[in-house]
Amino acid sequence: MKITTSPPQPAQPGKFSEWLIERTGWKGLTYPIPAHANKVWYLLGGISFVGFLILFATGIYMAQFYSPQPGDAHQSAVYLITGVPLGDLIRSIHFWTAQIVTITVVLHLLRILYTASFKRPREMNWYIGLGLLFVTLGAVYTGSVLKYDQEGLEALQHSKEAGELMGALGAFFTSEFSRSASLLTRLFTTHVSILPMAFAALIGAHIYLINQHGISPKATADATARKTKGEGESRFDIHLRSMIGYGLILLAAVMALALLLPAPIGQHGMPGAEVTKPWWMFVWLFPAEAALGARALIIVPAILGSLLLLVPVIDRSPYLNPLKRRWVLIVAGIILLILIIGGIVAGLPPIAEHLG
Amino acid sequence: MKTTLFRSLLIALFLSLFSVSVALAHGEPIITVEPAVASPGEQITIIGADMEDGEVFKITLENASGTVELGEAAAIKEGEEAGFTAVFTLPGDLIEGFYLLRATTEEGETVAADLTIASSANQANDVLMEASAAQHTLDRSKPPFLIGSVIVLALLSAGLGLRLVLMRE
Repeated sequence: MKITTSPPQPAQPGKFSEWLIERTGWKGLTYPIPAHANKVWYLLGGISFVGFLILFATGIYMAQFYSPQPGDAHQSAVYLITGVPLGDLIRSIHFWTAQIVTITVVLHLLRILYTASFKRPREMNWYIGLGLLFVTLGAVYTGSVLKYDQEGLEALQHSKEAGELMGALGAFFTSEFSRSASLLTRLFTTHVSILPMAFAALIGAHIYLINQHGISPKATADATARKTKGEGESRFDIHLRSMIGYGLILLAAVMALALLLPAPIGQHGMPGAEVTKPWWMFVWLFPAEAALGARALIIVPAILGSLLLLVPVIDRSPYLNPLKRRWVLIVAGIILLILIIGGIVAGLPPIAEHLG
Repeated sequence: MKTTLFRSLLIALFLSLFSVSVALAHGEPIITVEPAVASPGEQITIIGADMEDGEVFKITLENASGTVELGEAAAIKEGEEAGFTAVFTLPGDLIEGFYLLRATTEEGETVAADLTIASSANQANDVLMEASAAQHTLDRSKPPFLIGSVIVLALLSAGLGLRLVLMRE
């Protein structure tokens, strides 16, 4: 049998879009997805992703001028602000993007929890998402230390104490781990290589699984968890367009914030002192820390992390509607409220030494 | 459902306890060094806390090239806890860089702090100041051209973003 194939047709001259589609396979991104996936609540993950791209771009620029040695770190951060072309602006964009991405990542997690998008067959993606949350908070923590001002040094001291309490598991966070590289240098490495690599691997797996399962169904009265791949009234390229649109609005917002409120930097850190408070992402740990000392830095995140890990085990019914899962959501709401109130209460009074 | 939830909470609490090590009777010893950045030949003060009364610590400086012994310090009871304040003079031939200042007991219990050796006294003294929560006062003003360019870029970005978001399917 003779098999004949027709040669590929060249793109029509002047039709750039067709030329581009032929070379990029863009048509492959026009697969159907549900219309509700284009709502902002379902785009929070995508917005966070664009935020990470901004963080990578600004971070690469800053890394050219930052010195991760304890003796030079703070001075190089000051130089970045005062001596590097666009340094202050780029650093402020990086700072504000990190603040907003933390919010969008947490809101994304809450949306997933509320609409039960973690249910079968999406449990694995819930765990990958928790990994991404860990990477995000890890990047925020390590980033806050790098400027090596008083606040950064105190954050470093807190993690050292928690690391020492954790024994072998926390060895990485102790000075004794390496005699040739300081903890600051190793946290810099973590911030610019280990966490970004973990992010790349996890986000790749996250997107792959979303593609395999489809966007979770809308949490209507009788909706149940199921695979939706290939279903829907909208298209993925429209979803992508909205994601880029919101990403550009995010970029505009961080540029405006960077101009109006440049990223703060404190005085050079003095070891042993406790005169600052951590960023809002971690300030909710303060009340527990005041009661339990550095041990709280291990216990509280371990409890919260364990509860998040148990979510797909606890909430196993196939129903998506929040009214049919009210106990889980009430407990989650109470925990969230405690964290918010704890953060506000801890944020208001003046700082006092609290490490035991 | 309630039973499952209660059990899960108990499991979570139980699991979290595994990540916490056993506390020593006198707590974890800690040392701090002042200044954290010093130059060769300079004096440093090492303060130890949360130690046992009478414990003797061998003080060493370590980095990739080796170990330098500075001396010994004994913990003395002050109030409920024991500790020490010891002053040492750094060797004049120390090479610039990062060092681990380690205090080790005869039983092998160790505690460490970071110490950076700067090449000159000026460089080291530049960073000597009181701990403060105040922000660094820096000239953050930007040229009008830069401000104008950022505003234009932000407006373009917001405009294009809104157009993409509001575009019909």
